[in-house]
Amino acid sequence: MNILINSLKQNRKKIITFSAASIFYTLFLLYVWTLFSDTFGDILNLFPKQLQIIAGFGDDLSTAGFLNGEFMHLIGPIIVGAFGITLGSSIIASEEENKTIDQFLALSISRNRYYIEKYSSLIVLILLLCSVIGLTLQLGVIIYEINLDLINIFYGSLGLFIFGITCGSISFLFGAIFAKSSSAAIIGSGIAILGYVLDSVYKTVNSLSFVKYASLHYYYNNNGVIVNGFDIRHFLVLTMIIILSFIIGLLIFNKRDIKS
Amino acid sequence: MIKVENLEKKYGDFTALNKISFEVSEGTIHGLLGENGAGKTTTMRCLLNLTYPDSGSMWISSQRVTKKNFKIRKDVSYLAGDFRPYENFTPLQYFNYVLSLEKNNSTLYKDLSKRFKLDINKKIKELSKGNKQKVGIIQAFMKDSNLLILDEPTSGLDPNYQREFRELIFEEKAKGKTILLSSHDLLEISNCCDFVTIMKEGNVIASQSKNDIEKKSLRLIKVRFSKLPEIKDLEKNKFIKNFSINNNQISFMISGEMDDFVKFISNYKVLDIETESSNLSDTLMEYF
Repeated sequence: MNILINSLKQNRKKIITFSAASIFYTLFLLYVWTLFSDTFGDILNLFPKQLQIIAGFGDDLSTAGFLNGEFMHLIGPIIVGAFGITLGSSIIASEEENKTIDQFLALSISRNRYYIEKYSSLIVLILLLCSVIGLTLQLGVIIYEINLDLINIFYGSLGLFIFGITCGSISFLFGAIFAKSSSAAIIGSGIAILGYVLDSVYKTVNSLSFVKYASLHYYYNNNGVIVNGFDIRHFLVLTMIIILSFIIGLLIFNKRDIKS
Repeated sequence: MIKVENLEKKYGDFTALNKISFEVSEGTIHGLLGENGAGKTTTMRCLLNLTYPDSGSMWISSQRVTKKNFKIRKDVSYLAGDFRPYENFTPLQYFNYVLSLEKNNSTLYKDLSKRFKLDINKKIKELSKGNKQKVGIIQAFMKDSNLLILDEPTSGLDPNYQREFRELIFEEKAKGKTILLSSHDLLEISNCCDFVTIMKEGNVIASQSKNDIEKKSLRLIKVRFSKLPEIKDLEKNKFIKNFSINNNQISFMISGEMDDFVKFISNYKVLDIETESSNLSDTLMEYF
């Protein structure tokens, strides 16, 4: 557990920064919602239906519906995805780049243990961030007296958590393969951004609807996770990506030389 | 203690280790000597499984070094050639963290820190290069392992602490510990080691006791004569490997026992003699 605990300590500034940004943005967003919740439907209707769909808004005019478009569709995944990618790409790769890893792997500890504890720290940190977001939503509900069920907050936090872990695991995998944090971050970000783009493409061009299957964003929020919870099939796809990234990264990390 | 057999490592077309073999006896200080790129660090990293060899075998304490046999390193300490601790830690935090990974309760770092006059409460990023190296040395010795693998251990240390380090490894040797250290500094190796393995371009050129190596090593001797010897007389002596003449001074490169050389110059009137150890390349030349 020492590697896990140390990794949590090493990344405390990142979790504090991202948590602060999330708290600020979430509370601000909920405050804005209190200002126009009564006229939300009218405002939405000013935009073409297609644009509403691309932006993640549906027919639900409740707080959950608003958050689905305004928070869960773009800003939420950006915050949690960026956090996951930043961590995933650096937790092992930057240790190799900085050459701090040599002394630890020369001890009588297995590479499996090192990898698993580092990966666990990624999960714990993303869980922390998503818990902060969930708690902030609940706090906002209390402060602004908004109507938002606890189950929706749970769905939203869980959705962001799974999305963050997916982005983090992909970056972690490429960090373990290349031992280069910048490459891992670029690949992780590229996959996440591509997912968002493909999600928008399939919603606008019917003939290209098949591209949705290559989009992380589709699996994460096509169902409107904060409103309806996870589509179990989509949940399984993301879980498979997480598990495969973890296993492939572990195998490669065990088989290759540590960068010298 | 260590046995390396036909160890081979290639990076693409570059052969880092070319089927090298050597042994390190228990309770000795064994030096790996060679210029940069000779394969010293790769050999050490292979022993610690940081780098995997393409072929060949290694044993530590009669146990085969394999990818899965990480427990073999329980009794091994390592100092990386390019030692990099966590910069945002203090040495104390770093030592405690390293020890905690192996559930080791040793407090030896306290005595070692006093000995090397290291402030263990200052952030590592605020330490000088030499003090960072002391952190590396202390973390290697604090485990109290029976085998120490030290890659360029005195790099960055000033002469006083180099001497302190030498005393430390002699004390460890006296306790029966085995030390494998690498260096490109001939003086360091000759001051510390009982046995030396000389490496060049991924090959082991020689692996023998220090005394045997020293017999083969070259010495640079500058002699000022009142009257220079004839060149043909210089050339016919096999122990004179090379010489250069500057006014009435001749710089000799001498190999083997000194007796023959002393006898030779006694035939001439000598005004002054200076001797110095030859550098590594000159010594290595003997092995090609």
